[in-house]
Parts: sequence; C-alpha cells; structure tokens
Amino acid sequence: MPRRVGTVVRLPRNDESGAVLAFAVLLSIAVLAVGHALLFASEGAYVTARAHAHIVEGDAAAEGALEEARRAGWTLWMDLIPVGGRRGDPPQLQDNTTTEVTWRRLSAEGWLVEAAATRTPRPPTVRRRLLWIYDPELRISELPAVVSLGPGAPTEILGSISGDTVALGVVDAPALGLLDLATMLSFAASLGPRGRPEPADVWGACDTAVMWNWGDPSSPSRPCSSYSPLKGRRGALEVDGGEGQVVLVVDGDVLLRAGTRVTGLLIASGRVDVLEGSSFQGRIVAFAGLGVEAGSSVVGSRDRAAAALRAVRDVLGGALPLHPALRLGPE
Amino acid sequence: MMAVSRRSVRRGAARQCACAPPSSAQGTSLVEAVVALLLGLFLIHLGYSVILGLRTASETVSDRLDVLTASRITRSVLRREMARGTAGRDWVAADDSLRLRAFRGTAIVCSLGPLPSELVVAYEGDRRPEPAKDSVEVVGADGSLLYVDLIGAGPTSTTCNGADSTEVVMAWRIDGPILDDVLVVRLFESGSYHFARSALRYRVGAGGRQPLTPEVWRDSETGFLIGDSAVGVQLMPRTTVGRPVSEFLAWDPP
Repeated sequence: MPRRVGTVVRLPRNDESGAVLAFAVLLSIAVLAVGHALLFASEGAYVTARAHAHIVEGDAAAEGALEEARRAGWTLWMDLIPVGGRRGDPPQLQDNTTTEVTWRRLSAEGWLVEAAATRTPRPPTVRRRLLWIYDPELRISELPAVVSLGPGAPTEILGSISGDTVALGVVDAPALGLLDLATMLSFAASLGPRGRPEPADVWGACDTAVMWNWGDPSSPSRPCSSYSPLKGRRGALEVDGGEGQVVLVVDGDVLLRAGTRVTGLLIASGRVDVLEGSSFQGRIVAFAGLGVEAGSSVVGSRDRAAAALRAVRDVLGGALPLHPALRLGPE
Repeated sequence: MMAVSRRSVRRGAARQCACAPPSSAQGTSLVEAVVALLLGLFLIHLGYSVILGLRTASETVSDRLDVLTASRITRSVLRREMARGTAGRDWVAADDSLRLRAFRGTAIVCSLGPLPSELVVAYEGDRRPEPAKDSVEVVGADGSLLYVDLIGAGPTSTTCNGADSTEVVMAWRIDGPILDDVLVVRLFESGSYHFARSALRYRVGAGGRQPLTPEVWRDSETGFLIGDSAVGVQLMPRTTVGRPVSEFLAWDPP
C-alpha cells in the first residue's frame, strides 16, 4: 500500500519537468530573438555606413570629373557653342560609376560645368562649378591701347607708335582678364636671358623644341610659317635681332634691339625698350614703362595680337575657376 | 451490490492511506518549495539581469549611434556650407561658432527684366527664395562679386532658353544696380552655427538656435579648431561612449 501511495505522490514531479522544458524552449527562443536583434542592429549600422560610403564615392567621382574637365581646358568645339548653348561630353564608366560632364556657355568666357556621377540604382551626385576660358578677340579688345602701361609708368618715345587704336593706355595689372602673370608664366616655355629668335626646321618639319624658334612669319612657304609659340621668362630678357611671332610673357624688363622684328603680344611686368631699329607689331603691356628709340617702332595690330593669342589656346587655354567657391550648389 | 460496497470500502481505505501523508513526504514538499522559491528568485534575478543588461547595451548602442549621427551631421553640414563660400569673405570661424553666408541656391541669369533691377533667372536650390530674409551674390562675367538684398521674387511669363527641367524660371528684383555682364546670382541667408548646449545649432539672422544634432557633446571641449591655413572641428562626446574626434573642415588661407 505505501508503495502505491508513493507512486501516486511522484506524479506532480513529472509535471515540473515539463515546465522546465517549456522554460528552456522559451529561453532559447528569447536568446535567438536577442541574437537576431543584434544582427539587425549590425545590419542597420552596415547599411548606414554603406550609404555614407556611396555618398563619398559619388562626391569624389563628380569632383574628379569636374577637375578633369577643368584641366582639359579649351578644345576646338568650344568656339562652336553659342552663348546660352550647352554640350555634353560622352559618359565615362569607371569602377561601376558613370560620370557625365555638361558644359553650358553663359558668356563669351564664362562656362557652367556640371558633373553628374551615377551608380545605379542610386540617384546621381551632381557638382557644379563656374569656369573661365579666355576668348582671344575679347582679351585683345579689352586692352585699352597699343601699349598699355601701369599707373604712372614713365615713357620715353622718340620713335613711332602707330596702329589701329590709341597709342597709350593704362591698365591695373600686367594680366589678361583672370590670367595673371604668374599663371601665364606657369604655362609658358622658359627662355634664357638673351637670344636671337630664328626659325628652325628638321627634315621639312618645324622644330618646336628649339627655345628661340618663334616661327617664320615672313616666309609663308616655310614649315614654321604658322608656328606661333608661348614663351616666358622670370627676369630680364634681351632679344638681339631676328624675327618671330610670339606671345611673350616676362616678369622683368624686356629689351628689343639690333633690328628685332616681332609680331604678337608682349606682356611684361617691367619696362619695355625698343631700340636700334627694332619693331614690334601687335599689342604690348609694359607695366613699368616704355622706351622707343628713334628709328624703332611699335605698330598696333589687334589682328596680329589676337592671332598669336589664338595660336596658344591649347597651351594657355586651361580653364580657371571663375568663382572661388569649391561648390556652387545646389547639391 | 454487496461486491460494490466492498470495493467502495477498499477504495475509501486506500484514499485514507494516501491522504494521510507520512512524515517523510511532508519534509520533501518543504524542501521542494524552498528550492522552487530559490530557483524562482534566481530565474527572476537572471531575467532581470538580462533585461537590465540588454537595456544598458541598448542605451550604449543608442548613445554611440547618437554620437556617430551627430558627428556625421556636423561634418557633412559644416563642410558643405564652408565649401559653398570662401574663407574670410563668406564665413568666419571662432571657438564655438561659425558666422556665414549660407548659400541656398543658384540662379543662371537668362536676361534683364522689363523693370529696373529685375532679372529673369533659371533658379535651382535647396528651397524657394524668401525676400524677407534672403540676399544675393551677383557674379559678373569677369568674376567680380556684388552682394545685395533680394527684394522680390515671383513667376514670370518670360521664357529662358537653355534652362534645365529642374530649374524654375523666375523674375527677381534686387536692391541695387544690375551689371550688363552678370552671369549668375546665388541666393543666401545670413546665419551662424554654434556648438551650444551639447549640440550643433543653427541660427538664421537674429532667430533662435535650432538643434541640428542630438545633444551629445561636451560644451567645454567641443568647438572649431582655427589653424594657420585650415579650420577643423573638435568633437568631444559628453559620455564615455564614443571617442573624441578632430577633423579637417576647410582651408582658410591667411
């Protein structure tokens, strides 16, 4: 009898074992839920970080495309775009990101450049910038005279100054619009302190590597007849005879002597002296003063100066920021 | 009937035997009750500890998220605002504040309007112009800049060749002379950013400072870092969660 009673009493203990099992199952489910919550939290942080990384990538791609466009500067098609018109460069694909650059002409020299970087399916990242690319005719017509001088610069004119506009005028700086002297010098091939410009050709082709080859304007049939370089010098420059066509940028004084005959554009931060029967045809900016000896001459020619400036557009035509802000907005 | 009665008696006897617990059975129930009580308390403690731990972990993660969010907002907002302007002219940074022209949009000039000081523009921006609080930066073809108030902005029937589909053609009136060679007009409001009361706050004109980030920074050690040629920001979290950050924001040439 006591045995049977004992058996009957143990029955509730079996029920307790079932509760522990249920508790263990619930606990496992709870742990699983917590694990998944942590997983989702990590996933959320990952998605946020990835989205931020994509924004940074898009930003870098658009900025890179803008900078590349700026460095490319002037190209031939630009003259064909009317003010108010626009042109899109072909899309570029790199690292799964497509960049498109659109040029919009706002004025003769002002361009709004827009770069859009797209990585599907995300919306494009757009960056815009205002750039300035010089127009040769406009730059020359902005010069006030055949010879432009700095304020109060002395002149000694015994020879002749003639041409298509007034002889002397005043400018604020030895510059061409936004192209200041330092910028122009950074683009120009460097000259020695003294030399004689002469055309040079090799096997029937103009040798443009020669420092003092400034073209051959008086011989239309020669290889260098159409060659017109951009040359520069930091310091005084003396030209001893010879002839050529050039855009000459000098951070110092310039001396043209011994019958030198040069056409084009001369920009000097110092004084320009034309001596010993020399002549210059085009436009001169002589910021620190001008001397023209008897028998020497300066002949103003808008066309010659503009032609020389046009000839160096692929070198000097790098786009400059028209607005100092790095971002024009909206973004 | 008789047999039934005997079985009933036997069942009754058995029940009596079962209902009279032996002394050993009573002791087992007490121990079991105590163990069950202790186990229950332990489980409750365990559960409470788990909940508390989860709550602490959740708060830590939330605080860390707030710090990261605040850092990201601070960086992106300040860098964007400063890149849209020029150091010294458009913005000036001090220890805990940045006063600036906050540019909000750009308008391409299509033509001069029929009225004096009126321009027809193709505008695209973060928001629509509000003459009550907005001014404009007029950009000339030679890069010259002029700052004047915007005194009117509204729709126009004049068309603008070359305008984008995202741009709105509008007529703007400005408080000043209009140059013939104006290219672009940029809309801005005068405002300032402050690190105050543990958050980055923005203030338009003389208005109140509105928080842009969660309040997570320690005011005394958070602010702008003014260098010789650059401006950065130092962000010090108020709690031990997160680490202090010093980052570049913009160049500030002397």
